[in-house]
Amino acid sequence: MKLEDLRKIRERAEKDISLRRGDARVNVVIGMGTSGIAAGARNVMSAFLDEIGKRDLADTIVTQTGGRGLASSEPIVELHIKNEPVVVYGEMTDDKARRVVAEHIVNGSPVSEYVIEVRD
Amino acid sequence: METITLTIDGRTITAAPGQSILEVAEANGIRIPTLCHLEGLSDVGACRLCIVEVAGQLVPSCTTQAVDGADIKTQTDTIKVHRRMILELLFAEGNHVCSFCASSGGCELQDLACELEMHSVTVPYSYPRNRIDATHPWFLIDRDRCVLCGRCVRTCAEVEGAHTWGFAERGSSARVITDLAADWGEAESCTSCGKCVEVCPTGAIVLKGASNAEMRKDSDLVARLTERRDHE
Amino acid sequence: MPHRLDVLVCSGAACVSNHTADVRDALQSAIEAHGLSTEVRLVETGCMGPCELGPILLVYPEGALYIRVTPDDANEIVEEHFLKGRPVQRLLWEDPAARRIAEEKKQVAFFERQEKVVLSNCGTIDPEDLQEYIATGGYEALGLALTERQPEELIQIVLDSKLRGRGGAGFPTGLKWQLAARAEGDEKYIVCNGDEGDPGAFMDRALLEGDPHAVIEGMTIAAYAIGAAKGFIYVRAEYPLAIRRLEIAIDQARASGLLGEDILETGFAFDVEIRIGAGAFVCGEETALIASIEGQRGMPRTRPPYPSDRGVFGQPTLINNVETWGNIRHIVLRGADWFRSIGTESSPGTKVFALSGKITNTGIVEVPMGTTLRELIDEIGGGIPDGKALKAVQTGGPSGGCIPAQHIDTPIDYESLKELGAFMGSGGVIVLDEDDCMVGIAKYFLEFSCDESCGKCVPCRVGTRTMLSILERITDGRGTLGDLEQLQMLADTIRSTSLCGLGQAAPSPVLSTMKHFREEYEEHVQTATCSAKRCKALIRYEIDRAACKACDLCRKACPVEAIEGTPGEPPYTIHESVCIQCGRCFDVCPFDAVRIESGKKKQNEVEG
Repeated sequence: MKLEDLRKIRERAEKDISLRRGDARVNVVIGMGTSGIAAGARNVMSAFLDEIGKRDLADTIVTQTGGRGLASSEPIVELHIKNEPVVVYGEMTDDKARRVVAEHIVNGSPVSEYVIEVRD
Repeated sequence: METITLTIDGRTITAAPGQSILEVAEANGIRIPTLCHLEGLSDVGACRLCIVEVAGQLVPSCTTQAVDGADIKTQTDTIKVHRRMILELLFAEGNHVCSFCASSGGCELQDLACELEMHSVTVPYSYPRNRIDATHPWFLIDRDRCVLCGRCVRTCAEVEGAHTWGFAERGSSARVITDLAADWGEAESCTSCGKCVEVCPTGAIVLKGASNAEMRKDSDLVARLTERRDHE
Repeated sequence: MPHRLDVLVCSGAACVSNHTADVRDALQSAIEAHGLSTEVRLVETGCMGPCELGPILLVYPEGALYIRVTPDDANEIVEEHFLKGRPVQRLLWEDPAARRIAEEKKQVAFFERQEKVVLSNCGTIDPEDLQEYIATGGYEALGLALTERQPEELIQIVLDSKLRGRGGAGFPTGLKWQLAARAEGDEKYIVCNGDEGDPGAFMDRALLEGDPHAVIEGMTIAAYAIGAAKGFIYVRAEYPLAIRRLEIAIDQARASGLLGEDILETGFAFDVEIRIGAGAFVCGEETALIASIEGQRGMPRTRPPYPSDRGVFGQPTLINNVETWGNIRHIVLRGADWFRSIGTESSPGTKVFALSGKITNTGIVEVPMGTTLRELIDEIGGGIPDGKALKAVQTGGPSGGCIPAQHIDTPIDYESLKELGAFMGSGGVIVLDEDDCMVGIAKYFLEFSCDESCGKCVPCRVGTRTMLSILERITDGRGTLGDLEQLQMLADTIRSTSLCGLGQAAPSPVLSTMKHFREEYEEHVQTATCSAKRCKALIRYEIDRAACKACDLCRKACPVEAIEGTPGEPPYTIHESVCIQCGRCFDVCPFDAVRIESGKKKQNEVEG
C-alpha cells in the first residue's frame, strides 16, 4: 500500500462513518408514529435509504420522529437542508421518495406537488 | 595520556577518565564507606552508603563516573545523617545480633556501625523470622542477617559463572535464593566453590560449624581472582 | 444501502466488566427481530469516558447517549428509538447538576467541557477496524512523515511543540528524540511504556483499548525520525483487552504494509513486538522496564547512562509513555503551533485524567493543560456525591501528593502541581471528601510503594517499610509526636538517597499530607482519635437503643458474631471485644441505628 492507496481507502472509509460526524448537509426526517407506520412510513424510509445508497450521498442522513398530528397526510417526511427552510412532504410513497431524492436532495428543487408545508 | 582534574573534599585530584568517583577517591586515599561494592565485581549502587555530593545532588560514588571539573564532597553533615539512617535501617531490617553471630569481629556491617558512629537504632525493628537454610553440606545461609547487597549473586554469576544465586520477590520480602528457590543443598547449579561465603559482608552466608566470632572471610578473593584472569 | 443508525457500544474495560457484551447481543437479536439489520449497525468502540455509568450506548446521527443499559432494555430501545425514532427517555443521561435529560451527548457537561485530542477516536471508532482508524485520518501523519519530511524535521516539530512526557515527569519529548537520534549504536529501539500501575490510573488502558493504531503510528514516526527498526510495546498482563486489541492492530498494520519491511512502499522498515509485564509497578520505571524487556528481573539501575544512550540490549532507546505516543500523529499533521495553542505556555497540549474516588462522574476525561481542578471536579466530574465537602485531591498516585481543597482553583500543569507538593503523574485524580482520613490515605499509598519496591536499594526497601510501621502505629492510636519527626527524617533520607523514582517519590503522599493536614496527624497521636472515623482502631460501633427495631439484619451480617439480640426484642448490642470494625452492620441497618463513635474500643477482655 502506498500513500495514495491509503488516501483512497480513507475517502471511502470516511463516508462509512459519516453518521457519527454530525455534519450532514441533508436530514430526511420521517414521521414514524403509529399512524405513520400504519400508512407505510417503513416503505418510504426503505426507499429513501435505498436511493441514497445507490447515489452514494454521504452527506445525507435519515432520521425519524414521532407523529406530527397530521394523520390524514401520513406518511410525512420533512426535508432539512442546511441553511434552507424545512420542506414537509405528505402522503409519501416509494416512488415519491425516489423522486424527492433525485430532484430535491440532488438537484436542489423541491417537488412542489407533494409539498404540504414550508417552514423557516 | 588523557587526564581529568577534579576536586574531592577540597583536594585537587588528577585521574584517568572513565573511572567511578569511588575508584578515584580510593586511589587517592579518600575513604568512602561502601557495602555492596566489592573490587572485582560490577557495581550496582544498591546500598547507597557510598553517596557523595556533586553539584548539590547526592549520587552513589560507585556507579557515577568522575568527570572533569567535578566538585565532590564525601563527608558533609547531610551525607553523614543519611548514611547513618541507611545503616540504622539495615540493622532494623534484620536480626543483626553480634553476640550470636559467627562473623562478629569480621563483619563489614559491624565495622560500618563503628566507622559511622551509629550508637543505637532509633527506628522500629522488623524482627524477621526466616528459616535458616543449612541444607548445603558445608555452608549455610541465615537470611535474617542478609543485607541484600547482592555480592553473592554477582560473584556467582560474574566470577564463578554458575548463576546459582539470584533475587526473588520484592520489597521487604526480597531475598537471595539458590536456583529457582530450591534449598541450597538441592541447588544443582551450585559448584560448592564457596566464593559466596567469602564475599558475604555479614554473617548471613557462613561456613557450617563456625561458632560465635569465629568466621573470618577473605573478601579480597574476588579481586585477586579477577586480576589474575585479566593478566592471562 | 447505507446504514441510517450507528449504534456505538462502549467496549472499554469498565463496560466490558459491566457485561456490555450481553447488551450488545440482546440489541443484535432485537434488531434482527425487527428486521432492521440493514439499517442499524452496531459498532464496538473503546472507552467513552463515564465509566461508572456503563454499559453505555451512543446512537448516531442523533448523538443520543444511553447509560446503565441492561439486556432487558434492548427491545424497548430498538422498537421505540431505532424503529419509531423516539429515544427512550428513562435511559438517557440526566445531568444531576442541571436536572435535565440530555437529548444529545454534546449537551452533557461531562463531554462539553472536554477537549479530546489524544482520545478523539476513543469511543467513536471500532478499535479493531483499521478502516475506521484510516477514516479519521489515521496513518496520514506517517505517510506525510515518510514521504515529505526528513527525520530532523520531525524531531524539530516535536521539539517546537514543547510536548512533555505524559508518564508524569514531564521531560521534553523532543529532547529525548534528539538525544536518541544523535546517540551512536548498532541498532536503535523504540519503546512504548504501557506499564500503567498507579492506583486510580487507567488512562493508558483507555487509549490502548480504544485507539491502538494511534500508538503504533506514533512509534513508527519516531522510528523513522531516530533511525530505529524495532519497537517494543510493554503492557501489563492485567490489561488483556488492551493486549488483544494491540495484537489485532499490529496484525492489521502488518497486513496492510503499515508495519514491516516496506512501510507504505517507501522502503522504510519498522516492526513492533508486545512485551507483557508481570505486574510489577517498578517496571514503569524506564530502566527496570528495559531490564524486563531483556528478560532480566525488573530492577532499576543508576542513570546515567540514560536509555537514549544505553537502553534495550545496551543500544540507544527512545522510550515514551502511551499517551505521549498518542499525541505524535496529531502534532505531525497539525503542526507545533497548533499544539502550543492548546494548554499553557510551559505545559502545552491536553492531558488525559482518570477521575475516581468521591466524584459523581468516575471515568476518563481529556482537558487542556491549565484547566483548574475545580473545572475538572465540579463541572466535568459532576462534583462530590451526597452533598459532601471536598477535602483534597490526590494526583500522581503513590509518587504524588494531596492538594487540599483551598487550592482547588489551581490550574493543572507540571509546575503548579509540583509547587503544591503534588505531582502531575500519569493522570490519576482521586477525589477525597470530608469522610476520608488523610493519615489513612497517606498510609494506603505508602503501603503500595512499600509492596512495590523492588528491594534493591536500602532506603526504599527498608525505609518505606519503616515509615509504614510508624504510620500503622499512629493510626492504631499508639503514636507519639516524636513519630512525626521520625517520619520526616526517614522521608528525607528516602527522597535523597533512593536509587530510582519509585523510592525517591514514595514519601510524597506522607510529606504532602503532613504539610497540609498536620492537624490530623496531631489528632491521631495526641488524642488517639480519627475525626473522619476511618481508622479502625480509633472507632467503635454502637447500636442506638431507641432507633433499633430488632430486625436482626445486623446480627446476620456480622462475620464474627459480635452482635447479640432476639428478633422483635430491641435493642441489640455489639460486643466491642469481639467486633472487628468491619462496618457491615452499619451498611445493612435500614434504620440508621448503628452509629460510629470516635475513640478506642474497650480493651479486649478475651486477650486480657
